[in-house]
Amino acid sequence: MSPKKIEEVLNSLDGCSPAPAPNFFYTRLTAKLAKEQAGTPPIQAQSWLLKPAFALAALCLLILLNVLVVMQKTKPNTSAATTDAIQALAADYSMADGNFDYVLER
Amino acid sequence: MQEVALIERLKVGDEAAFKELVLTHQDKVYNTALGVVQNAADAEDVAQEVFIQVYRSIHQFKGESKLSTWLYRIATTRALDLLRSKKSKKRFGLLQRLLGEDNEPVYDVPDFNHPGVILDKKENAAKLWKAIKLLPYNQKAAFVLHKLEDLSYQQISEVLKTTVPAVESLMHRAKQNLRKSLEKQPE
Repeated sequence: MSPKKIEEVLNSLDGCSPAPAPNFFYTRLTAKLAKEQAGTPPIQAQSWLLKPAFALAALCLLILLNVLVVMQKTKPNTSAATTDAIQALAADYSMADGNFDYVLER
Repeated sequence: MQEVALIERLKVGDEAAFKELVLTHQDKVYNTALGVVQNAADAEDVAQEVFIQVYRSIHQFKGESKLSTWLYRIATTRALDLLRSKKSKKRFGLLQRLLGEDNEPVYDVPDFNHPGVILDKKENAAKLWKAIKLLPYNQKAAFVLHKLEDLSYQQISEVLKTTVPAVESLMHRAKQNLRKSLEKQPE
C-alpha cells in the first residue's frame, strides 16, 4: 500500500458517527439483571469443569498417574526376593523358627 | 450538580435513576465496546455487563472522576477482558471444540465495519479495522477512544488511569503499528 493510501485509510474514521445502542437495550439489560438477581448462576459459572485449562490439567494428571502405575508394575519386587534369601540363610545355619533359644543357651 | 444528584439516587437504589443513567450513556458505552471488540453481539454483552457492574458497585464510586470517565473505564476494561478470553479460547481451539460451551467452534467474524462510517470511506475503514485488530490492547483502547469517541488525550489519560505523555506515546506507537500493518495489505 502506498504512503498516500495509508494516510487515507488512517483518516477513514474521521467524521464517523457513533453507533447507537441496539433497540430495547434497556429492556434486555433489566431482564438480564433480574435474572442474575433471581440467583440463576450464569452458564459460564456452571460449566467451569468444561473449561479448556481445567480439561488440560485433568488430562495431564491422568497421564501422570498412568505413567506412575506402569512404572510401579514394571519394577522388580525386591522385597520378596530379599525375604527368600534371609529364610534360606536362616535354614542353612539352623536358625529357623524355634531354634533361637537353643542356640542362645549353648 | 445534576450528576451528583443522580449518583445519590443510584446509591439508594432508585430505578428511575438507573434508567436515566442507561439511556444517557448507553450509546457511548456500546460504541466504545464495539470499537474494541469489533462485533455487535459481543459489544452489546459488554455494554450490559458495564451497566450491571455500575448497578452493583455504585457504592464504591467516590466521585473522584466524572461518571462518564468511570463508564468508559469499565467499558474498555470489560471489552479488553473479552478479547483476552477469546484469545485464550482460540489457543485451546481443539479442546474448545471438544468440550466448549454448546460445542460450537470458536471463530473470528471477518471484515468488521462500523455502522457510523461514511459510505465512501467504508472500504478504507474496513482495512483500518483489520489493522486495529492487530494492535496491542492499550494502544487499541487509546486509538478507539480517540477516533471513535473523540476523547482528548487528557480524557483518555483519565480513563486509562495514566498520564497524558503516556497516552501520546500510546497513540504514536498505535499509528506506527497501523502503518506497518497497512503497508502489508494490498491496495
